[in-house]
Amino acid sequence: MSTQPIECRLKGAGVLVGLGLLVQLVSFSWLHPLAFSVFLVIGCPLVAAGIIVYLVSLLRYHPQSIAPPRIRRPSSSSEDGELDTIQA
Amino acid sequence: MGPETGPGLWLVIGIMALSLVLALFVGFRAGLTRDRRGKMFAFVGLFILPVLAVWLGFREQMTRAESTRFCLSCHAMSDWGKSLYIDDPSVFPAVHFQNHLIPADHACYTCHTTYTFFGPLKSKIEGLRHMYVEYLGTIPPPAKIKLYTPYDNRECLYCHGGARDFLQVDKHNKPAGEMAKIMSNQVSCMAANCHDTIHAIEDLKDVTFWKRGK
Repeated sequence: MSTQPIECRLKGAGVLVGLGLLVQLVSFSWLHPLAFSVFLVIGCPLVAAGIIVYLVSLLRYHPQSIAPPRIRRPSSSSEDGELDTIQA
Repeated sequence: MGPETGPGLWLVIGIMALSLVLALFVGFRAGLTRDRRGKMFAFVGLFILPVLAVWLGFREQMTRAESTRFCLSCHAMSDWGKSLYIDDPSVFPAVHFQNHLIPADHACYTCHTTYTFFGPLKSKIEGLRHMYVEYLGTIPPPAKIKLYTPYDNRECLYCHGGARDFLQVDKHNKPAGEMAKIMSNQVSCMAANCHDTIHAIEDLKDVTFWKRGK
């Protein structure tokens, strides 16, 4: 499967945030204490969960495909400071 | 939509709708976030805009929750809504409402909020308690519905305190020291023989009602 885990998490975050905002938008169509409660008890936690999933995905993100850093150090075969690649 | 809605509501709805579309777009096109711009776009779509939209939406909901129509939308409050139309100058909630001494579209909230720093929040928490009783508890008969705590003069004095037509009333000044007692809530504005006819719920069957335009 080609989908990276962060993309799955971003999708989950997007769906949660979208769903929460949709619930909140619908709650505006109705002026009643129940609508206020739906906004507060269902909409807000869904959006908050989506944002938390997104932030956690950022914290846990470990790029696998980034090229290893190149640092300048004297090569063992020459004295003129060739670039060597340090394998992670 | 009633007077409790305005251009602010449409702005909030617009920002929420934009945020919704962006969040779903970022979610379903997560591959876009591989480059720097995509990451910034995701940050806006999944963090900045949702936080802004929820905050604005929450503020708008709080404003809507202060409207008279909102308070009277529960069946248990219908008698209190009717009492605002009693055609009798001794029923002072009706006098305040009919003469626009309080904003007619925020009538309940104006008198029943607490004028302290956390007052509006306290009012909303009490509102959640009303909802619990309405949907999960037992609604008492109208005559038995009471305030959770005795009405504090502070709420009256928020408007009347320092006003000439309040300070000059003989009954507010006699006997000497009466005004100080009123100001410090030692004597209630609703004490017997003062403003003791409040919503007059028990008398609704026997009273006449004011009709708008008459």
